[in-house]
Amino acid sequence: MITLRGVKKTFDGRVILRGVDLEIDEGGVTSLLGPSGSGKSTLLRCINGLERFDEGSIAVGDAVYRGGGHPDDPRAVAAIRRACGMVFQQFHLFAHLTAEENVALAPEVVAKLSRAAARDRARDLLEKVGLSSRAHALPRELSGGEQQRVAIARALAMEPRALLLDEPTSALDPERKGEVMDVLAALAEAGTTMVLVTHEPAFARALGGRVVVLRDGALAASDARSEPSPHRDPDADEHD
Amino acid sequence: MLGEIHRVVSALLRRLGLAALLPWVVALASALLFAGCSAPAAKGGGLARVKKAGVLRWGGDVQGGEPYVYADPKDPNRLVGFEVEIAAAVARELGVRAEFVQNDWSHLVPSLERRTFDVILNGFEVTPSRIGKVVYSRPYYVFAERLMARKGDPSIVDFASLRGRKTGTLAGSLAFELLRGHADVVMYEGTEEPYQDLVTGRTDAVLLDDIIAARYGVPKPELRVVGDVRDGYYAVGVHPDDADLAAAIDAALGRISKSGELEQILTRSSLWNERQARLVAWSDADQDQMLGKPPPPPPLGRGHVWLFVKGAGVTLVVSTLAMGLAIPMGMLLALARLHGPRPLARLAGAYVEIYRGTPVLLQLYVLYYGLLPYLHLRQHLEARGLGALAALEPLFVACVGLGMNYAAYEAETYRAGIQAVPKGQTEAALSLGLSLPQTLRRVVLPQAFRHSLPNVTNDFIALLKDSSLVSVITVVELTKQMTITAVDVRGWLGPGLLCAALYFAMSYPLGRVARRLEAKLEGQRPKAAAP
Ligand SMILES: Nc1ncnc2c1ncn2[C@@H]1O[C@H](COP(=O)(O)OP(=O)(O)OP(=O)(O)O)[C@@H](O)[C@H]1O
Ligand SMILES: [Mg+2]
Repeated sequence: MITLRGVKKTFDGRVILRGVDLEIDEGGVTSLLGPSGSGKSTLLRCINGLERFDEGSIAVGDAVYRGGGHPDDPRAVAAIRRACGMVFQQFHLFAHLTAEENVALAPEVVAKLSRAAARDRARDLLEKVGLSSRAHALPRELSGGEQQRVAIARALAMEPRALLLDEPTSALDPERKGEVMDVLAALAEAGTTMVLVTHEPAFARALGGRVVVLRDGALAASDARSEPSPHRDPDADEHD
Repeated sequence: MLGEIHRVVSALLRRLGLAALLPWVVALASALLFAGCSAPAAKGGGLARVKKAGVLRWGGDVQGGEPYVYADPKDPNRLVGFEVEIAAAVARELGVRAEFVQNDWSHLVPSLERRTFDVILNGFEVTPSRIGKVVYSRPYYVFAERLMARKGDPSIVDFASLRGRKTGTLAGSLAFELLRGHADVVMYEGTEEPYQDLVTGRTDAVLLDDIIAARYGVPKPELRVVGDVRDGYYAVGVHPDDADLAAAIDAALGRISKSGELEQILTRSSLWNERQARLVAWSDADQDQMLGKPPPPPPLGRGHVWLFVKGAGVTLVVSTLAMGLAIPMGMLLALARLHGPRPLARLAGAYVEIYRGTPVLLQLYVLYYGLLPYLHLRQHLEARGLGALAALEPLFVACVGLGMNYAAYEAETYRAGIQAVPKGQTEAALSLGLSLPQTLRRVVLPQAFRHSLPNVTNDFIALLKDSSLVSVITVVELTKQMTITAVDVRGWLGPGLLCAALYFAMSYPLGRVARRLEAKLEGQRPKAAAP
C-alpha cells in the first residue's frame, strides 16, 4: 500500500537517508526502530509530504511523489495526506480549539462534512479513545496522554488507510504511556495499518507485526529479538 | 481661572465615570502651574539681557517663505528677506547683533513665553487675541486683508458674501479671527495650499495678507482678487515682562522709519506703497488706535467643552476608520509577505518599508495636496449629483492616509504574530489535508490574532494620538481645537488639560476593553452547549 523506492534525503549536503526501500502492506503494524538522529522522523515526514526528498519515489495507493526539484502534484499530495494520518511526538493539537473541534476540523474543512456530521464523527472517535467526557476541554487543560489520544482521534477522523505515528508515547510520563498504548493496541487488533516510529522495542513487540531498523541512512529488516535484549527496561532506551 | 478649569475638568471626568482620576489631574495641573511660575520672571530686565548677550534673538519660521525670511537662492546658508533686514537694522540701533531662531509659526507666542528667543518678528499680525499676551512695538508694515475667489464664481463679492462659504486662511492669523463665526473657515498651515485648494474647488474663497496673496494667489490664472477687506499691521512682539526692551525696539523702529531706511528695505522687496507712508509719521495715538481696547478673554466654558467634545469625536472617527482600514490591509500585507508568490512578497515588503520609513505627515501631504487634485474627485462626485460628499474629502484622506500608514505597522505586528504560532500547528493541519489557505484561516491566523492583540491595541492608542497630524490637511480634530481655544482664552493650561483628559478618556477604556478581550481569548471560553 505504501511503497518507498530509493528515497534519498539530504539536509544541507548531509546525507540522512541513503536510498530507503520499504514496502508496507495493508493491515498490520510496521515498527521503525533506530538510533536517535538516524532519520526516522524525517522518513515519516517524507511520506506525509511535510518534507521534500532528493531522489527516489514514494507511492501511496495510486498517488506518487518523486524526489528531486520538480514540484509535487497538489492532487498527489492531497491524496497521500488523506490516505495517511499523522500522529506527532509533541501532539500538536490546535491550541485554540477544544478536543472535539480539533477532531472535527478536517472532516468539516477537507471532507466537507456538515458541521453537525463532523461533530458527530468527532464525538464517536473521542469515545473510541475514551475521552467523551473531555470533549470540550482545550488542549492545555488536558494531560499529555489525553492530548495524544485526541491527536490519534484527529488523525483517524479523515478515515485514513494508514496511521503514521512518530514516537507517540515518548513525550509522556510512564504512567500515561499505558493509556495511549491501549488505544494503539485496540487499533492494531482492528487491523489498522500503522507505521510506528519508536525507541522502545518492547512497545513494538506488544503491538506485534514487523520491525525494521533504520541505521546509517538505510533500512535493515529485523525482528524484535535482534534489538536490545528483551529483559531491559523499555524506558531505559528513551534517551539514546 | 484655575477654579474654572477644575470645575470643567471635574465635571467632565465625573460624566465619563472617571471621577477617581480627579486627584491625579489636579496634581498634574498644579505641577504644570508650579513649573510655569518658577520660570525666570525678571521684570524689565529684557534690554539689559539683550545688551549683555550682545545679540537680539528673533523668532520666525522660514516656511513662510519669500519675502519675509527665506534662504538665499544663491547661498542657501544665508537668510534673506525684508524681515532679516529689519531685524538687522533694529539690532544695530540697539548696539547688538541679530540672530534668527527658527520656530514653528503657529507656536511663536508660547515659544516667546518660554523665552526661546527675545522677540517675534515674522509677519506677526496685530490681532485682538494676542494683544495682552505680548507687547507690540509700532508696526513696520501695513498689510491688507486681501480676498480672492475663483474667476468662474461671481457669487463672492465682498466680506459679507462669505457667510457660510468655505473660506481658506492660515491658522492663528488675523483673517481667521475675522472670519470665525461668519464663514465656514478652513485652516491651513502653509501659504501655498489655501490657493491650490481654492483652484480645485475645495474652498470658495481665501482671505489672507496682501503679501501672501500677491506671491501665491495672484499668479494663479484661475483666481481673481475680490478686494481688500481691511488693513492690518505687522509689528514686533515682545514678552510682557520686557517692557524696556519693547520701548527700545519701538524707538529703534521709529528711527529707521524716519531716516527712510525702512522705505528702502521695503522697496527692495517691492513692498513699499502708499499705505506704508503711515509708518513714518506713526504717533502714540496711532499705536493706541491699532491696539484698540482688546475684549477680555472669554473664560473656558461650556461652549469650549462642547467644541472639544466635537474635536474628540473627529479624532475618534478618524482613528477608528483608519484602524478599520489598517487591520485588514495589514493582514493582507503580512500574508503576502509570508506566503505570497515572490514578486508579491517583495511588493508587500517594499510597501511596509516605505510607509514605515517616511513620516506620516509627508504621506498625508502628498496624498492630499499632491495626488488627489489629479483625480478630480470633486468633479466626479458633482457629475453624479453627490457634490455634498466633496466636503468630506479631507476627512476621507485623513482616514485613508493614516490607515495606509498604520497598515504597514499592522503588517509587521501580524507577521510577528503569525511567526509566533509554532510550526507544529501548521504541520498538523497540513498533514490532515488542509490546504495552505485553509491552514492559515482556520489554524494559524486565529492564534496569531491572540499574539497580536496587545500590539494592535497599542497601535490603536498610538493612532488616536497620531491622528492630530491630520490638521495639516484642514481637519479640525481634538489637538487643533485645543490650539484654537488656547489662542481664544489666552492660555494653554486649561485647554491643554481638557484636551489631555479627552485623549485619556478615549485611550484608557480602549486599553481596558482590549485587556478584557485578551483575558477572554486566553481563558475560559464559554462551554459549547451540551447536545
Ligand atoms: N530541518 C532540518 N534541517 C537540518 N537538519 C535536520 C532537519 N531536520 C532534521 N535534521 C537532521 O536530520 C537528522 C535526522 O533527524 P530525525 O529527526 O529524522 O531523526 P530521528 O531518527 O527521528 O531522531 P530521534 O530519535 O532523536 O527523534 C538529524 O541529524 C537532524 O539533525
Ligand atoms: Mg524523531
